[in-house]
Amino acid sequence: MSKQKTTKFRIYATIDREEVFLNEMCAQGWKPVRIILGAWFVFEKCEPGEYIARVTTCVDPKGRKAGKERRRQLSEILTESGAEIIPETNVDAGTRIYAVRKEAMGDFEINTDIDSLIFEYTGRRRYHITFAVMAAVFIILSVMLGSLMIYDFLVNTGDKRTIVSACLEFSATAILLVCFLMLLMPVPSYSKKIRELRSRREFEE
Amino acid sequence: MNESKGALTEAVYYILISLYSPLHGYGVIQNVEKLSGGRVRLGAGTLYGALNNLLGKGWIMECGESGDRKKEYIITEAGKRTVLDETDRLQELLDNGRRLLEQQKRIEGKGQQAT
Repeated sequence: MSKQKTTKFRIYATIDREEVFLNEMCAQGWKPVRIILGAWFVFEKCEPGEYIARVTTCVDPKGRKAGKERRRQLSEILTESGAEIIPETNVDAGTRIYAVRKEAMGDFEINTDIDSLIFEYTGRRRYHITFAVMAAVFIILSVMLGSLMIYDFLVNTGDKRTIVSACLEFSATAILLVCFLMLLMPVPSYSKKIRELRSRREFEE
Repeated sequence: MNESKGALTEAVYYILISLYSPLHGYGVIQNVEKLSGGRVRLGAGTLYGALNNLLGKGWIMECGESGDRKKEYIITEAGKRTVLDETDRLQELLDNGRRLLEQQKRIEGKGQQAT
């Protein structure tokens, strides 16, 4: 008999919030089994609190996607330590690893020392900055294109279709602007975490 | 103390002393937990980052694959020298700490006798 399943649609600005959501679902008795396009989360019924979920980035501190070999190594260590890797398809596929492990196996932390936490948060911050810069470039291009359309409407054609196209262009710009802000929003909190960890390291390690 | 080398983190020290015999990733986690009496539990991300750093420094090297095609690692001569240096540094800390604590105890004992 197949297990009861449910799918939730969620878009989160940060990995931290995504992890909180996955753990809330685990606490309610839903184990994540698949993530589609980074927004559709498929869950399978389990015992409440049976699993702990963790998400880690697979990028280096420059925000670049880690190679397949490195991803394989980290996934392998996780699997050997009793975790299950959740299959995912994402627009930035390969930059994250989602894992669950049974709560009965004890604490489940992927980064247990200050250096690897700094590495993790630096990667996350750079990842957000890189995508925010990309969004900013598209915003500039989109504004330029929309402005050209309005100019064309006013000076040359007077064609109403041009102004409709310009409106659509500016709507796209507005969506891009929201994405840009969502991407940029967590950057200060990551910077704060990195500063705190660095100052902790001076005393603890 | 050799300032330029700096102190090793607990995780790195335990990983290095675990690799005097070849081990794969999860083997290192298990060995560190055993050596520390269950106190130090390395996360997969911590181990992965440390192994890559240690490979970069030349303190450990890959030494083939185990039967189930898992990469195994072993400490190098440079890594062994680092462990010896770090053990000496830790010993110095321990000796100095104990000596000062004993001195303090004696001073406090004399003070109590005087009162």
